[in-house]
Amino acid sequence: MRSKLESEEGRLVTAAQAGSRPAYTALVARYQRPLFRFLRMRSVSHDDAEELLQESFLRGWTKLQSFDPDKSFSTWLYTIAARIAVSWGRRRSLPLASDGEMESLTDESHPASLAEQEEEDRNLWDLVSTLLGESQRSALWLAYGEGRSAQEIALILGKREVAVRVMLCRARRRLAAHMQHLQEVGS
Amino acid sequence: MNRNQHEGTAWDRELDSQLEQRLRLDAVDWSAEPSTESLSKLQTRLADIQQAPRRLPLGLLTAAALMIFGLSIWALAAPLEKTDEAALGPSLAEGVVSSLQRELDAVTADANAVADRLMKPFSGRMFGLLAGGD
Repeated sequence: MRSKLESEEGRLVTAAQAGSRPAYTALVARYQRPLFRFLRMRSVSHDDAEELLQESFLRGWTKLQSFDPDKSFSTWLYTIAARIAVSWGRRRSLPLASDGEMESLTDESHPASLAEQEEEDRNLWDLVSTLLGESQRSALWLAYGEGRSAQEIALILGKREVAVRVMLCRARRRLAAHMQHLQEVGS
Repeated sequence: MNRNQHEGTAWDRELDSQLEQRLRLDAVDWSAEPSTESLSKLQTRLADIQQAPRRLPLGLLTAAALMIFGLSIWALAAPLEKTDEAALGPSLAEGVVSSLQRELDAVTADANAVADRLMKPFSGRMFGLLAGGD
């Protein structure tokens, strides 16, 4: 099933590279929702993620000739989106907090409000988006939200595979520690 | 490894496993969707950019612009140089050199005349001495 999808995607990519607008539109339709979720996990607001999604697809169209058809199209597209998100965050000086900054904010500034927000039925990704920094959030989403390998995540985020594995491990530990703390407070 | 550490490690593993499972499950339910307006705006922008001709690389455009600018300057400057030469005649430097040459010629002529006048009284006696030997 996956190989069939990939071969269909390969045909779409080849057609889009030859200038077919419907083919690229089909690729957009295929990736607009997953790419939005990835960007939403990276950026701070819904509106920002929508803007970045549009920029990513527009950049994808203009750069399509440089894509190597032997490689994964989705990894290539996600790499473009990740780079746009990074440069956009720098340009607008948005609070795309680093991992360390985010930890200090969540630990010391508003522990009470975080504890209030943390409910049993709350989606864990909402906690991830408030608790972890940008890189850890992105890596965690790509790993567990999309089931990508550490190698793919490393390509998308422009990091080494070892660094991604360490990042994932630290992110899980931080989440686990926070959840344990909340359980202790609750009991 | 004491008992507390061992229990802690086992608990960590179990929690880690539960955490991974919950992350996967919650990812399916995580409500993060782009709005319909945003998606339709994306389609519009894509249609605009796809209908527009592909943009040339910026470097190529810059090189072409510089080349056109250079050719324009050359085309404007070349006839102007010819007109200047025709209308103004010899250049200032040539005029200065010819004026200096004339002055130098005049001074040389004056110097020759003075030398002739000074040498004239002695020239007869010199010839006499040479001829008579006294």
